[in-house]
Amino acid sequence: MTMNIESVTLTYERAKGDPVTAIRDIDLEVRRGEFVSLIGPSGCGKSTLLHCMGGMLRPSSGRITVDGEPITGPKPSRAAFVFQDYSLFPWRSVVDNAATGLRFAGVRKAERRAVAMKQLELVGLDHVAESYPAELSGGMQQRVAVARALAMDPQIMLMDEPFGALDEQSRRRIGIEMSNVLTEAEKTVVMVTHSLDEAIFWADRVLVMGKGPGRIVREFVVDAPRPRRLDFMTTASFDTLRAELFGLLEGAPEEVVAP
Amino acid sequence: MRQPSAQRGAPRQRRAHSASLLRSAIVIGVILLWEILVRIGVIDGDFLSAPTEVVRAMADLLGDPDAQEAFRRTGSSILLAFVMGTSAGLFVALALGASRLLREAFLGPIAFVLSTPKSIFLPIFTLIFGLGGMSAAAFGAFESFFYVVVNVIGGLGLVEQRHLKVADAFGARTVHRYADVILPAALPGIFAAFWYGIKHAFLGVMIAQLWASDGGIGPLIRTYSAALKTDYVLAIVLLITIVAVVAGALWTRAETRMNRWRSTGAATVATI
Amino acid sequence: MKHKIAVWCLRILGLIGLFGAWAYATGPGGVSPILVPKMSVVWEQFKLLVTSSHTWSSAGITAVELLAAFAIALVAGVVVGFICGRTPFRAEVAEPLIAWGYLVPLVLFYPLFILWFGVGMQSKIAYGALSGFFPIAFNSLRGFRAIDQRYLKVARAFGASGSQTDWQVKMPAALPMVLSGVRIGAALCMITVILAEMLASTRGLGYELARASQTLQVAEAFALILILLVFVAIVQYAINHFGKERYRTDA
Ligand SMILES: Nc1ncnc2c1ncn2[C@@H]1O[C@H](COP(=O)(O)OP(=O)(O)O)[C@@H](O)[C@H]1O
Ligand SMILES: [Mg+2]
Repeated sequence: MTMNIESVTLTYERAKGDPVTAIRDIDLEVRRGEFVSLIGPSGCGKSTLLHCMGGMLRPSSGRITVDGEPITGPKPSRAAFVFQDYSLFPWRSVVDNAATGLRFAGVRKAERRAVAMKQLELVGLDHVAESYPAELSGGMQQRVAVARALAMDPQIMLMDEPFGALDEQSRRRIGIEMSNVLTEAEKTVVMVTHSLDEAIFWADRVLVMGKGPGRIVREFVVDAPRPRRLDFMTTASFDTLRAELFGLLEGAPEEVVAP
Repeated sequence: MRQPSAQRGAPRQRRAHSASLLRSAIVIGVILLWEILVRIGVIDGDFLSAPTEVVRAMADLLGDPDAQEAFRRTGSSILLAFVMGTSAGLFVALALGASRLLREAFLGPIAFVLSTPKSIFLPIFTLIFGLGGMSAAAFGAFESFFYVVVNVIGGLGLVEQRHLKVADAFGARTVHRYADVILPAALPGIFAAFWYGIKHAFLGVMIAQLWASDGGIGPLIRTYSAALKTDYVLAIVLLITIVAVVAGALWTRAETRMNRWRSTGAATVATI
Repeated sequence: MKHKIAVWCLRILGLIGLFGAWAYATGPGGVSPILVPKMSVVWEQFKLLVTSSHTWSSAGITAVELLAAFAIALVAGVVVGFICGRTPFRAEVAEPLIAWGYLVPLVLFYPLFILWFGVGMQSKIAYGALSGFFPIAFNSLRGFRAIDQRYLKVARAFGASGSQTDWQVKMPAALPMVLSGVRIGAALCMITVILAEMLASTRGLGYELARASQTLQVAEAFALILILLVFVAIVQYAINHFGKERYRTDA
């Protein structure tokens, strides 16, 4: 599977005020099994790009194809989302939440619950399958959201700041766990993040986006086999990459903003 | 995460138990005191009959064909009022729910009428429908209509955009959007709409019958109270009160159960 | 802006529909003027009533009954809510009792109130006060029992005395909840006082409406409905304006 993004531009038409061009002329290729992280200042169009990849938004110009076939709308078996605010259905039990997409696809109850249970096991939550989301911590809810996406067996997972709402510690712990799960499942993943550590630790490639309007300003390759161990964060190559990213994002903002 | 609540469970249960004991004791105590005060003549029995007399009057009433007929007439007016008020309310609420423009134009005026004493429109109903059961039913429908509209709209307001987005992202078709997101999210409002629909259909019919009616419970109460048959008035009133309180308590329980998934624990708050 | 205009156009359309139906009903081929009076006649009556001192004194009576009923309901409701909300046990005992009281169809008791208090102002005040009491007591109890323990901890840690905790911590913490009960209670006081006047009384706006309608002074009845709507709008405005909380505590 290969996703091709060819000079994609998206302009939001607004009821009040001028239209906003969120992303312009994005070119990108995501290959099978690859883990790509997207990082950049707030409002630079990361979510917009991700939503275009998932068919939730239609580009104003340019096109996105998967194995040559154009994307026309959301299709969870091709691209499944993990949203920042989890957005589990509070009125459904954990296992039914994980089975949501399968239910929409018309899979029979017993079967979809079996699949969902397997994914819950994978993210280590099979013991709370019958609980309701409100009874779970934020980290657990986010793992359910990951299970919900995995249950679709998607060709590509689209994660929008998946751990943004968690505290630093759970974020790292769950991050490592999920990173292992996704690597073992050989998933293709595009993940938006605000954390430099996360962006590097998880990814094969880090794409840095810039503002006004959003586009990709730099690309880094993280040359270390996945899954990685925690001590990867203490290596020199990690440090160098991190310093470079930091400089790009925080140190010299004009470089990011200027065209 | 569940541990602490399990640990605290035992004393809390004990407290609930002794609280309900004390509550029963209070209720029984009040009834006993009431009986005694009437018996020793501190309270005039013409104004407030003793509980034992009220119970006897209740038994009398239940066997009295005239009273049965009055209950039947009132009951059918309430049912008619509920059906008319709820269906009209649902229809209007769905129209307002579908269009933001309509909602902004008419929800305000509807909320205003909701907060007025609707009894001031009673003369119009009597003029148009006369004194029969239809008049009471129409007024009951009028009362309940506004509650149904406001509650259903309130329910639709609970539908969250992000859940609709998830539904779209996971391939929901239109029927799924309604069955899996809109309906469950709006259910508390819809449930409340039915409850307030029946409650106000009932109250509206009662008010209309007390105001002017040629039959039903209202005139029955008026006749008995004019004749100073306080025990019969109290019997009717308490009979209906018991039904209303039991229905209300059951509804609260059902509502709490239904909202099990809500994180706020469905904090019931008094509303009109 | 365009949106606002459309909203008002729709509202005006609705009014035109309402008055159109009225005009049609009173026009040739419509219903008898005994049932539905002509708009112009109602308007004449309205002007007559608004300039009559009798109408104003009736409105005054209704207002006094309403205020008295509300004052009693407010004080009794908040005090009961506060006392019963002081310990979890008391709250547990009292809450269902108050909730049941709130479920009682009080309308049915009105004939008894006439029996007990007569047809004068007292019965309206007592009746209005009772119906306003329950929502105020219920929400106050909820508010006081659900006070966030953190506030009380702060109060203890900074050496607040018992009454300081009551007045400076518990009251403000419970206030949003109490106020929401007060708004409902006030609205209920108004609804019941007017209804009570209509059902049996000798004075007040509700009584005037009942009298006009029962003596088939149809135009006057319609004009009185209009006057009552204005009265209600003013009371509603006062409730919403003065009863607004300025903060939330999410008890
Ligand atoms: N629905 C929308 N309507 C109009 N403008 C939008 C909408 N969504 C996002 N934008 C604008 O598009 C730009 C990019 O937004 P977004 O993709 O959410 O950025 P990011 O996820 O990188 O923070 C921002 O300037 C934002 O204000
Ligand atoms: Mg974003």
